[in-house]
Amino acid sequence: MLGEICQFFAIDSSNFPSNDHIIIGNRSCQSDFLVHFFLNLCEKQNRPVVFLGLSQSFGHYNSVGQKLGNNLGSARDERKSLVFLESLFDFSESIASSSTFRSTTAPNPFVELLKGDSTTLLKSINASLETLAQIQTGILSAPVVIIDDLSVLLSAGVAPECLLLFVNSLHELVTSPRIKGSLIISLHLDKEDEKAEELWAYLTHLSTVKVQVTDLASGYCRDVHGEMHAEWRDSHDKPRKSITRHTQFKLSDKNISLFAPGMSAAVL
Amino acid sequence: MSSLSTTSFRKKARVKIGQILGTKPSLYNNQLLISTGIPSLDHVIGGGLAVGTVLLVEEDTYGSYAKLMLKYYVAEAVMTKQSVFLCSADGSVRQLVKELPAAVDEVYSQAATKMTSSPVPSVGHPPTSKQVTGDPSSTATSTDEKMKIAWRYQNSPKVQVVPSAGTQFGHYYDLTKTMNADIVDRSDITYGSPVEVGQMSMNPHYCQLLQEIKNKIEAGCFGTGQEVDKRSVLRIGIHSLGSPLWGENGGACSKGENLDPSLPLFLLALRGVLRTAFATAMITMPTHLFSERVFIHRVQRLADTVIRLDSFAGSDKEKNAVFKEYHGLLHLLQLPRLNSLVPAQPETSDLAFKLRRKKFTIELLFVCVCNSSGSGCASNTTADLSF
Repeated sequence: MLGEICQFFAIDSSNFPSNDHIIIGNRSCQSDFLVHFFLNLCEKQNRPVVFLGLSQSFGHYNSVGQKLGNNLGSARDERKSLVFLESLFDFSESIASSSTFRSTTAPNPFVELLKGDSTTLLKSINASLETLAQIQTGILSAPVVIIDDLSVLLSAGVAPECLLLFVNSLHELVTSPRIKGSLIISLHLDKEDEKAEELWAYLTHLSTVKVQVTDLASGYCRDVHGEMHAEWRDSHDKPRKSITRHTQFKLSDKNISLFAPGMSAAVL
Repeated sequence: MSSLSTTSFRKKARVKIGQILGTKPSLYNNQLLISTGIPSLDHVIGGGLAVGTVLLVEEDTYGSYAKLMLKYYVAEAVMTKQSVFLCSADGSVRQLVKELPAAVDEVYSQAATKMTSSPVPSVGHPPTSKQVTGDPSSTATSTDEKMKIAWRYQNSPKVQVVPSAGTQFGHYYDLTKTMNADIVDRSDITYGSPVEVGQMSMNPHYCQLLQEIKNKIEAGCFGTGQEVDKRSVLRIGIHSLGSPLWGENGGACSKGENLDPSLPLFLLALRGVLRTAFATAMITMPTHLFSERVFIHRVQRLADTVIRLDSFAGSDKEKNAVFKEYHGLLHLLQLPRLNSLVPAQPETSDLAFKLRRKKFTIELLFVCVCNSSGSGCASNTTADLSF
């Protein structure tokens, strides 16, 4: 699985690109595999990861990771190379506590975010990056920050302007010369959702790699699950021709196979 | 590598999952499943409803079939002795519980107990256990009289023997009969009550409901962190969430043109709560009342399984001879991806539902093009094939 997608992204599997900003736009239901792929890749290369899991719990990522051959549990608890922010539970907790007027002593980042202030969340990510940097002294590997599903915040009523500011500050923070990390953001897109499309348009300006996963235009098929478009943007510090690639994929429980459009095993 | 003496190989310990009543592990991804009460629906959504997930049923225009599905869901809980938390804004859930369909084997055993002169005393011994297990000793009472012929079958139990209560997954129900009130009374059913509270950022009804669900999970020890000797599963049924009675304004904010985020927030919070609990939720929602399609999409993404009932009642399709076999279409909009990369892959997404006299089934949509001169549709033999 790793090899094929690495080939598609033209990534050397031993050298994860640093200072990259990858955005993944999901126009279908089944495109979580890219998040799992990057998580897997970071683990394989011993890259420290800060993961903001907004749509699923750690248990989910861990059990999928085990099927793909990496143990996130040990990465989090023993090797300490993964900081998983259980944002789903934090969020849920904050919503429930706000309903009972329980005043929490520490400001909850998500309550703050709903009010339009993203500094608390940024601070917590920054703090996790620093703990990673302390543990990883000696190893020169830049951290990766992954956000799985930014659109959850959008659905939860965070103002798009606030999210723009948040992503912008996060981008500044992660790609700063001090950290030189990479940022991976996934979000759900919907043609009718103007707010998400605006956010996406802004993110494409900020990003270096833009990936879009869509369903087949011809409808549901058991053998071809969707298409993936990737586009590399020209950037100043890493001049590269703007390339686009296009592939179709089929997911199975433990593997993902990529093939050129129309070249599925079921067709040939 | 921590130490060389210990090997990382370990025999896979068999998880004692089967001991929870009415559950089974998934064939695809080893998840704990419970039945929705409609075996054909279980089959379609990948074997059953995974514990910790939310099933969103988008209601048909009149909401009658969605309500029927909720009845099945609750009836299955009663049969497997699971706890239920029910809530509705219009207070119709108490009536719903009175109208639960009777399980087929329950109907049988009621007849059997009538036949015997001495009915089994039911104090402290819920009849459900007997019916679920199909215990041969209890059915043997009705076979006391000597058989004249075929005596070799005399000792064989009348009811089809089911190995144990834990493996019984999904029951068949008879819609013409209602479930015995004693059995229903004995099961643990809690009713939620949406009440008016003060002004908050989120819709107060949803806050209240969320708090009640959390309290129920804590009180009933359904959390994954809580240790109990006998594990059970909580079923949460919410009827017509998001209807105007809940104070929902078709997804729009009362003030501006922005969308009201209360309902997505509630679903997000519910997901967070359910992921750490032995609980599932079935929510029926009148999505046809929502004005913004974007809002519907957002709500769908925050639920796990989403199906939409598209009833023919009142539509052109009702009179179309092509669909005369069915009562509506079932759209599988989303299947859960909990703990796995891929959702269950159904054979096809062309599904329809049918309400017979005794049961509600989901079938593959099979359109018979050659219109055999039908009994009901008399007028035009050249049926308009409008797809």
